[in-house]
Amino acid sequence: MVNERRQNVQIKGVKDGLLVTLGEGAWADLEAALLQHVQDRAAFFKGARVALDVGNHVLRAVEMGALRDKLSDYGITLWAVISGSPVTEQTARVLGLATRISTPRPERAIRPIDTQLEGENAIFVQRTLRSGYKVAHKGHIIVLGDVNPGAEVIAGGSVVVWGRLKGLVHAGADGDESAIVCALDLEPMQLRIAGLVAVAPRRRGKAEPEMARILNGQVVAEPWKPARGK
Amino acid sequence: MGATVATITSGKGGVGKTTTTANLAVALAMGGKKVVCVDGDIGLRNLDVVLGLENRIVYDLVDVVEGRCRLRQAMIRDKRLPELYLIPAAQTRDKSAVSPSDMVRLCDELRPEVDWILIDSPAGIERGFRNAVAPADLVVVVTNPEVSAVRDADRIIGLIEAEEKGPARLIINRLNPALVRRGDMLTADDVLELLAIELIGIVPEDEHVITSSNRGQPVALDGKSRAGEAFHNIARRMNGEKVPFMNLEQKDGFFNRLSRLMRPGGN
Amino acid sequence: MANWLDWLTGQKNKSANQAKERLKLVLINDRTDLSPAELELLKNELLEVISRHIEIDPAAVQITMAQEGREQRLLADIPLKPQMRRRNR
Repeated sequence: MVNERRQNVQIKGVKDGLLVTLGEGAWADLEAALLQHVQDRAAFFKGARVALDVGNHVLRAVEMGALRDKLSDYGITLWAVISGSPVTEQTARVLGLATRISTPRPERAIRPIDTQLEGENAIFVQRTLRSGYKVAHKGHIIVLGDVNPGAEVIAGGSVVVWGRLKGLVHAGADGDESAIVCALDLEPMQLRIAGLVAVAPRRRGKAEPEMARILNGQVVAEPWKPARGK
Repeated sequence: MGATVATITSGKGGVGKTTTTANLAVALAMGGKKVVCVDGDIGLRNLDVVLGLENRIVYDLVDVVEGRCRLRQAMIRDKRLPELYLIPAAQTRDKSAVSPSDMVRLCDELRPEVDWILIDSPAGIERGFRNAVAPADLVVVVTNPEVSAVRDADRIIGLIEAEEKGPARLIINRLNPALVRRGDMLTADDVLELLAIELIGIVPEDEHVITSSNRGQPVALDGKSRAGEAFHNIARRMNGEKVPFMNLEQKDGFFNRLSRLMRPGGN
Repeated sequence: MANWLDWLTGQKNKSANQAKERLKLVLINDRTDLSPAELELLKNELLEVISRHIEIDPAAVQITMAQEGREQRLLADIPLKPQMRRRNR
């Protein structure tokens, strides 16, 4: 139980007070863990200014407002809510909360890999790309994480997203129509392969891994089955 | 039956929240209701002086919250009226002295005893506002027919709706019929069209408000003034009565929609 | 007739009317976090993206901002054919 809490609630001192980072999981559990954490250290938290990083959680005003008031009960002033979700950001703005803190954004860790495979090279991006981030490379791009709406991935080669692809992706940006786009959850704002543009129609049912490629002059997405492949 | 908690707020300062709270409290009490009004400001006192009760403060809201006195001891009874009480604000610099839960608990304690609890919210959307709105059954948004007041009211209304702390009702305060006629002031219709929430009252600009405030005698005590009459009408609507809106002089012209203002009000 | 039009123009120039028009734009901005310039940009970009998918007559596309009660609505009337098809096996 204690281990869970430590994973879910991380506290760091920053210039403007405290930065509390919440992990993954159901909002109700996270909120409970946070409040328990605060309660256990009530004296430490009283009078504190807290910025809360909720990651990709989508929070409605009711939830955010309720948490703000509960933190108030402990003498905590919630002044900022940081999130990768534009909905959550907008909610924070409506509530008069900041959505950025002065701590500089972490460096985009794009580590080019020194692997040559049949003359092709790829870069491996090991993070979720949040809104505003852009990765461009003339070879292939592999992302271990999500590509959020507002993020862009532009590759001369193919793009593989081991996560949710919700942003902008352009594979075969130099004109290679054999480039493909794969994702565990393919819901891009815009998908381009070479010169063709496509917008995904609304999904029916659960997300499944898919591969998008050009077939007969059109962009087509198919469920990814391991036996398939070029 | 239990009280209704109404929080009077506005977003922008200076539009007449405190005057409205004081006068609605008086009007409700004059109509035979038991009313407690609470000054929700933190660090600044306003409601006491508008009501003329500033000399009688012994305990305040923070004293109650921090357990230095019982709730009853902090309630100042207005001698002019049978059942009107005030819980004054504290003049403390500690912004976190009162929390939303404190306000909810305080109102819960009062609910069985009275008919109305009116909370005068401070301006803004920070802690004082959040404290004031936490226990509300009804949120009354006060605005002036003026650009920045309407803008701030819209912000507040959006916030209240987003957090589902409603319902929100509108009071348009300080409407000046002469300026409206000249085309130099937004009409009540204009404000309603923009804010699009239900109207519970229009209070005209009235110099009696200032003179009565000077004397510490809320204008609603004097039945003769236009503003006083408006506050009484609002009090009646709050109690569920259908009261026609006052006939304040309107803009001339073809497109004046009289119907909206002449329609009977009420919940 | 001319007098009526003059009167109408006169009304529009009154400060209260200006206040109302300004407030409409300000509230759109505040409610949607879109400035008038960003709104124009949004409309133009929408048109551009759409025209990349299909041949359209820009005159046939209608994009308007409307206020319904307390909600802002971006109304886009666009005839569409989806370009990307999902093939389920």
